[in-house]
Parts: sequence; C-alpha cells; structure tokens
Amino acid sequence: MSVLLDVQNVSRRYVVRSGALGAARRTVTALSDVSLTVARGETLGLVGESGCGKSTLARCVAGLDRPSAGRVLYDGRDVSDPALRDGLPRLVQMIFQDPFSSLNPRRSVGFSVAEGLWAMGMGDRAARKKRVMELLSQVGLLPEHAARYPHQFSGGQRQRVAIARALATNPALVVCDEPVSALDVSVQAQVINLLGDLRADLGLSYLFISHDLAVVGHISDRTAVMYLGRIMELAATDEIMQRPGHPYTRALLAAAPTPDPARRHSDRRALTGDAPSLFTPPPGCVFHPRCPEAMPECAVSAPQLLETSPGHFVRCLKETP
Amino acid sequence: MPNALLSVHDVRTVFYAAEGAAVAVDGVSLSIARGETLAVVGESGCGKTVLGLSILGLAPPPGKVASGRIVFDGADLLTLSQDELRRVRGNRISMIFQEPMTSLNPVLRVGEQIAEAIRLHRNKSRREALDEAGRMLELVGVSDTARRLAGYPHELSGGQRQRVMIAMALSLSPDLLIADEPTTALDVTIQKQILDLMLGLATAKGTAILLITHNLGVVAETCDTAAVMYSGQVVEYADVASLFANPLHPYTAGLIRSLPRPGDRTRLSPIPGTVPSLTRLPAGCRFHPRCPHVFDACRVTPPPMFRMASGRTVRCWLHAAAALETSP
Repeated sequence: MSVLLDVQNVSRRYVVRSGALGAARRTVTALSDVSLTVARGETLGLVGESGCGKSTLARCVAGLDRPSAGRVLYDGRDVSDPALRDGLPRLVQMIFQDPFSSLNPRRSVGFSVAEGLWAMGMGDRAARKKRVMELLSQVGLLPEHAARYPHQFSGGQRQRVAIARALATNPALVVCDEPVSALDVSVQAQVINLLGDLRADLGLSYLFISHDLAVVGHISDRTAVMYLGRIMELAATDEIMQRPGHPYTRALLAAAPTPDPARRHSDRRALTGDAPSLFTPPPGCVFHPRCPEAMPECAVSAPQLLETSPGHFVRCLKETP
Repeated sequence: MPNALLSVHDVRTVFYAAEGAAVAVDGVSLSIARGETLAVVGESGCGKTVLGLSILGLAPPPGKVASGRIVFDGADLLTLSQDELRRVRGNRISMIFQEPMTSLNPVLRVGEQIAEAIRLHRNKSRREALDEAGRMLELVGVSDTARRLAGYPHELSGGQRQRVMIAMALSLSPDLLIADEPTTALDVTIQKQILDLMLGLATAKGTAILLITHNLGVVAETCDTAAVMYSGQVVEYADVASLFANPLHPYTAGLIRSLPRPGDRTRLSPIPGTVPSLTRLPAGCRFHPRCPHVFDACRVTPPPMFRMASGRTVRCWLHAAAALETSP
C-alpha cells in the first residue's frame, strides 16, 4: 500500500496573550513532534481525551491550520506548497461532530452539497445537479431531500448530508473529527456502517478521530493514542486492543464502560486526577503524574516513541530497552 | 410495592404547544427501594429527562404533570404545596445535571454555593455551613479545599465541577439522588472516577439513585435495575443482569446490538429509521415501524405492559402469550 498522508514531526504552538492589555504571553504546545502515515484505502483511528491535540492535528492535515514545525505531505507533496494548497480542498475533506454548525441553515441541502463543486469549478449546472442526486442516494437520502433545509432533518440525516458534501469533489482522504459522537446509539451505528460502505465502494482513506475507543476500535485498521499533544502508542487496532503497550491505553480500555454487567466486578482502577494543563506540561513523561505504573525516572526523562514489536510503537520508559 | 422509597404511578407529563399536545412522559410507572440504583435509559427525546424533572415538580413550562401519582416516602409529591415541595427538594431528594457549569452560579464562590443548601435546610450558621462544605469537598476527593471553597466555578475543571455538584447534592444526606447524564460531558477516565465516587458515597450513606442516561455501558456497570424508555413510555423494566443477557423488547435488543465493541470489526446491526415525533406517533406500538419482528397486532393496538413469570415487565405483543398479567 502506498502512503497517501505523511505527517512528519509536526508540532503546533499557539501564543496566548493574557494579563492587562495582553502583556503577558504564554505558549501552548498543542502538538508535539507528531509523526504518522495513512496509506491509500487505510483507516487510521486517533483516540484521546479533551485537549490531547487530536482536532489540532486534523486541522493541520486538512490545511485549515499550519504546523509550527514539521511537514504534512499529501501524496508526497507538502500541503503548504502554494501549488497544492489551492487544490487541497478537493483532495482532502473533513466531517465534523456537529453537522448543524457546519451546514448553512439558510441554504438548501442541495446547494450545500454542490457548493464544493461550484467552488472548485467542477462541472456545469446540470452536471452538478446530477452529481448532487448521485451523492444523496449514495448516503441513503432521497432526491427530494435536496430542496430541504438543515433544520428539517434529524441529527443522523444531517450527518449524512455532511458526508455527501464532503464526498462531492471525490476526495481521496476524509478527516472525520468525532463524526458520530453527537448521535444516538441506534443512529450512530447506521452512520458507522455508511462510512464503512463508502470506504469500500470509493476506496477512501480516513483519518478517524474520536474519544470513543469502541467506535475507533470498530472502524480503524490502525489506531494511534494521543495524550497532551503526543502520540503515546500506535499499532494495528487488534494489537492495541489485545496487547496495549502503554499504561494510558490500558487505562482508557479499562475506563470505557461496556454493556456487560459481568465485567463490573473485575478489578479496574480508575486513573486519579485530571489531565495536566497544556501550559504547564509535567517534566519527564507527560503521563507520569497519573500513571499507575510510574517509576522514579519517569518524572525525569521523557520517553521516545519506539517500535517495540513490528508496527507497534510505544512511548513509555518501561518499554524502552 | 410496599418498601418503595419512591413510586411513580402512571405519570403523564404533557407539553401544550401550538401544534398540539406532546405527551413527553406517557403513563410511566416505576419504583425505587432505599439504597437501590435504578437506571432510566433511552435515546434523545424519549422523555427520560422530563421524567426526572417531573418527579421534583420541575417540569419546564409549558410542560405539566397532567395525571398520575408520585409517592415519596408515603407522601404524594403532586399534592404538596410549593413550600412543602421545597423542603423535600435538596433536602431529601437532590439532583445532578449533565453540565455542571450551567447549574453552578458563576459569580458565587464555590464554598458559598455548597454552604447555601446546608444553611437553608439545616439551620446552621454561615461558619458551620462552610466548615461542613469543606468536609464535603474532601469527601468527594477535591484537594486543597480551603482554596477551592474561596474560588469560583470557572477555575475548576469539568471533573472537579461535577465533584462540587456531587458534594452539594449529597451534603444533606438525601434519601434519593436523581442524576441526569452526570458524566456525559466528561472524558472517559474522569467519567469512571465520578461514577465510582457517586456510587461509593451513595452506598455508604444508603442513598438511592435514579440514574438517567443514554449510555448502556454505564447502566451495565453501575445499576441494579433499569427501565428502558422509548417515545415517552417504559418499554422494558428488568434487573440489569437479565436485561443484558436476555433483552425481551426488540428495541432493547436493537440498542445492545447497535453498540460497537473495541476489537470487534463485524458490521453493526443498527435499528433502521428514526425515533418518531411526539406529535405524530405511529398507530399501535410506537416502535413498530422500526421493529424487525412486527406483525399485524403491532400496527393496530398499542401493547400494554406484560408481566412475565420472571417478574420482568415488557411492552411488546411478542410476549402476550407467556405473560402472567397486564397493566396499562
């Protein structure tokens, strides 16, 4: 499989002004030396809790934000290259958590779906109309839905519209940022199946971001776990679920509630404390203040992301030879 | 139900609007014993939140409890005056909501807010109430309590805010805690901390919990019994172990089958279609347009609650033949 997306040592820092008249400046490192790849046709899951940097990474990949350091290569070319930048929206598309805020409430759904085609100068009016009908049927909506407005749809249907809109320009990579988190379980399963079908039919690649380990574990070929702007573990999804190498991954797996009353009495301890502030990341391993397996040296030296077995990367001193 | 702390009998909460009356809670009955943890589980719009608010006499206008009885420790809450109800609320029944920032007053110090209920209901001085608030914060695992008491809600993380809410809710040792999606806005590692904390304290104080949630995983791991709601009605009522091992209602079975599980890559089996609008309910069983087992009776006659030999109840015609008795 050839590499479609290549994220190389990307960091993203923001300067935040505070104090009187913004005199005080503080720097937040939202992403810290993140590297990953997505192959053609592959789904890479990205899981982590609030503030771990997963949405910042999504924005850098989609060209909505620029890394402070490092490069994002799409099909071998830097996405900040002016020659590629204009065409990037056609090749990389995004689906967000809340379709209500990403669809224009005053425009018909047909208009919103066709907008990308129009902006990219693809097809004439008749061709665009035909393409909209094709897209609506692909995502399980009806032709008459094109004339309706976002408020006339349920949450699941709106997410289908957002998917149709993302697919309009035939992108190769779709960045899905919490695409099913706002949906009820019964509808969530419909949308997950739809995303799976579209991937198979159209040969799409997904960067699939979620806080929900069960959803990521279901849809992804490989999974990356992020914490405080860093990738803590990256491996094939089955491998990471069965043999999690990082204490944080193990904690996430243990904390996720499962619909199995028998699991209740098994020994699963909760992590203590909150995730630290991005303004003041702890020294050493950023996870050590909450880590149930921390050793004295974890407070001092920062571990590297190392390949512990073929294709399985872990950032933990216990896994460092 | 003789030993029930709270029993809800055939409660209907109606919202009167221009398009007609929407019955958000339509004939719900359930009961909680002292110390029991009961889940009310369902998807958006099933009426679970309105049910929780109705119990406290807080159904948001234009919503109104139109009929039924809500008996708490022998007294029908629906017949109490506002003053009498206020003495029950916060004191003997308290509530925790999903988003603590909207329940906390942003311009009042955290300590004052926790102490307020203690002063109002326990007749303590400001000093005594603040001391008690500090003890409660320690109990819910907030460190550096002196600084937190003097601080404001915005200085706390989401998890800490929910700890403050739990401290407020449990400060008067209520008999019943109604928790509406208490961990939905929190990260999964924090969710586990908060659920463990809430259940641990409730068990220690003998507090019964009515946990309102959409999350079947949370139900499975924390509750004794569960009432599954769909379109304003309870469709299945069972102990949690039996509910997950052998769901009787096709909706419950569908919900459980819809859930992705980590590491399981097989195609999901969603429930087709969407929840009907409360102002345009289908005839017969409300779930029939989405049900894989639908037959003629389902399209015509709304099913009653059938009581099975196991003691479980289910609102589905499939179980009519085996049922011992029916109730509306």
